[in-house]
Amino acid sequence: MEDVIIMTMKKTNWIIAGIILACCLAIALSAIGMTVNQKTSAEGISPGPGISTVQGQLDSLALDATMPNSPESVRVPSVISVDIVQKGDDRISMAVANSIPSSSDAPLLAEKVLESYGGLPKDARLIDAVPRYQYKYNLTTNAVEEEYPWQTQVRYIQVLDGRSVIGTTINLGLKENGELGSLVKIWPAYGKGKVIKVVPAQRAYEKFKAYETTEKIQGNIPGGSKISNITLGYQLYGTWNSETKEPYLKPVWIFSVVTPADPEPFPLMVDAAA
Amino acid sequence: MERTTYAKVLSGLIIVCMLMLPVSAYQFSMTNVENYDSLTNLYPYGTNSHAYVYNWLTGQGWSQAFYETDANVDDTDFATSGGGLNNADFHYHFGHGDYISGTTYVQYKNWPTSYLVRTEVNKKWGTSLISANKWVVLDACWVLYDLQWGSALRFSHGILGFASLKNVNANLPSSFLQNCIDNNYNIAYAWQRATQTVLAGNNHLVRVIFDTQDQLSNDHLPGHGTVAASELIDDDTIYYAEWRT
Repeated sequence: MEDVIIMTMKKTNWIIAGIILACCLAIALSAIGMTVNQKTSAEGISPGPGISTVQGQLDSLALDATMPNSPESVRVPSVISVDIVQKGDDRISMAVANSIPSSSDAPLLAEKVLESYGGLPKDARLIDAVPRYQYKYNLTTNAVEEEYPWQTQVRYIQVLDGRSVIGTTINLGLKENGELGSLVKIWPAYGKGKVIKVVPAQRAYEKFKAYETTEKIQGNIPGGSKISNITLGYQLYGTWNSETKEPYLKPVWIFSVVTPADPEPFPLMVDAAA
Repeated sequence: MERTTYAKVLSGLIIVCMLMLPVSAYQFSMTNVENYDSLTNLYPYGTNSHAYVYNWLTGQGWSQAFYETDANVDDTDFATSGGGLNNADFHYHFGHGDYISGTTYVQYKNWPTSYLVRTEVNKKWGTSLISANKWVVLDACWVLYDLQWGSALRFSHGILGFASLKNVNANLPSSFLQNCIDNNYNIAYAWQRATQTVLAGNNHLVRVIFDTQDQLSNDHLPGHGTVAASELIDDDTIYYAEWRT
């Protein structure tokens, strides 16, 4: 009788061990990507297109801007290097602060912070300084119940020969007393380059209406939107785009689009090279 | 088998299980609509985005719960009937989004015939404490302009997206996941840094919505830091933050 019990226990032990082993195998197979539900695997990255069309209502957008005078040509310097800085501690950055700098105080505090990163470049133009909060929002009443000071965002863009360079940034999040929460800096340095002819603003506007913009957008431009400004500028390519070999500049006509939903202008660019 | 030998084998198997479980238990899913019937095609940006998501997360031992593209993407992927993204810890959606008269839409291939609106997913994400889903990225224009998308969060933790127009860029998911994985940044900060870098100077309004403030400030990808507790009793409030690129 005792022998039978021992045999049964041995069998049970092997069954348990077998089940655990089967579980391990199933987990291992899952870990190496052999799940039943998996339909597709991805390995390569195909190159993205260059200038491409944009879906939207660009041809029906109201033009609420004067057509600027167009220079025949523009200097397009070569990009020698790009100063890329990413600083910040996620625990500090995402924490609620006791207080944050006001819009008027923040630019000076930002300049102080930037002293540790080469100082505020002379070719920087302040975009804005905006106190940001974390909000507690009631979904039933559709109202903000509480707001918690988070960071004051200070943004700069690079200006070259008086023209904005889209793709450049100094973007700071300042905490209490101007302490740095986060910093992203993308700032090119330039060489000589060349002078190239540019298309007139009116011709660029025709291209714009035909959706020939340099970037695709992932949605429609709402009805009631308008073009609030048209300026000649530059667009920086290749700093954060692994599909491009070296960073370079292109002259672009910048169409600032203001939508009913977002009071701030959204830049849509058209290649300005003739 | 001797009892001691059996104990050793059993212990070995348990140790193997303990080693395997943390890297194999997590799943991600993705929906990618990049070829549209009446909207601008976004190919190959969705395909490239998927490649980055796939490579980063499988590199961490995650497995892919599902990957649906174009006409195969529909409401069920967004858990309108249970399942769908609830089967994965992390879901990434790529495609067009729209804003019309105060309502925002996730646009499917045959827009305007079919689309997703937030009322279809009310309290549908993370339907139980054991539901896998914690985070959803909506890589599309406009969708999070409407804060009521936060009502999708039952036990899920957060939604990352945009409240304005946005430019397409496949480097966004790569930068985001690199921040989460290589730098161990919390999820909201990883999204902030990725958007401010990849979409620099384009004045996008970026928004994150979380169920609790603890999740907003402290959620990390599993294995890369803490994950805050899920909200046990739904108080019908959400926490959000926003910034510009």
